[in-house]
Amino acid sequence: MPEIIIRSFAKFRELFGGTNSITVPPETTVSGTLLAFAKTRSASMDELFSGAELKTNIILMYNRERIDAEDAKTIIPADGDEIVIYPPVSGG
Amino acid sequence: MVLALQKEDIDISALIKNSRSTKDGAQVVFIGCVRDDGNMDALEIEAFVPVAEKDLRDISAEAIEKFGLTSVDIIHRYGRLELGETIVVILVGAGHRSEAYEGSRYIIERLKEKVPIWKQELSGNARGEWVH
Repeated sequence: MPEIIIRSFAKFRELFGGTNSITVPPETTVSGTLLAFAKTRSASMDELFSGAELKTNIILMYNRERIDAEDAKTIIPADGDEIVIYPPVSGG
Repeated sequence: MVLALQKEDIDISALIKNSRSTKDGAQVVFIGCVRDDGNMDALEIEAFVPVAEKDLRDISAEAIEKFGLTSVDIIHRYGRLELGETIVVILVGAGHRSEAYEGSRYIIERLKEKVPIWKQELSGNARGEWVH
């Protein structure tokens, strides 16, 4: 089964830890991987999901490329791939 | 052109001197700094550095294309910054002031909406809110 890296930044890093990995069944999408991840942490579900849908204010990257919530429903990560999640940015 | 994230303070004079060319009729420098809002004594700035540096390169290219700038330098700091310290410097060069001002404004707005950098308020040893 593929092992997926999940990296978090800012508020999400404080809640979930900076780098985690999770093993999911083959053919699990990015969204499904994050749902499985969220279920392992009590704080995660409310922060990341509204029902079964990823919250729209979460910024997602898959292997360092930005994706949206719709992409997350179709992309199937492979073993060793990286998903990055972070809240809205505030630089400058 | 310097497009970077760094912990160290920024030598703005050197940046201006190194960036200027005989094509420039104007240079505009934007400096973002840590403001005292009365409820904190420092900021912790976190960045996803490799992605942020790629974003700075992309934003720079956009601004050059859009406004015909002759040069763009963007340096954003991360780590703990005290009140009054410099957070970011954006230096643009252009043939005329209007393009320089517009290009500088475009870059800071794109940076604030896109680049993975976050600010957290610090008060003593306590970590406060993430700024949005």
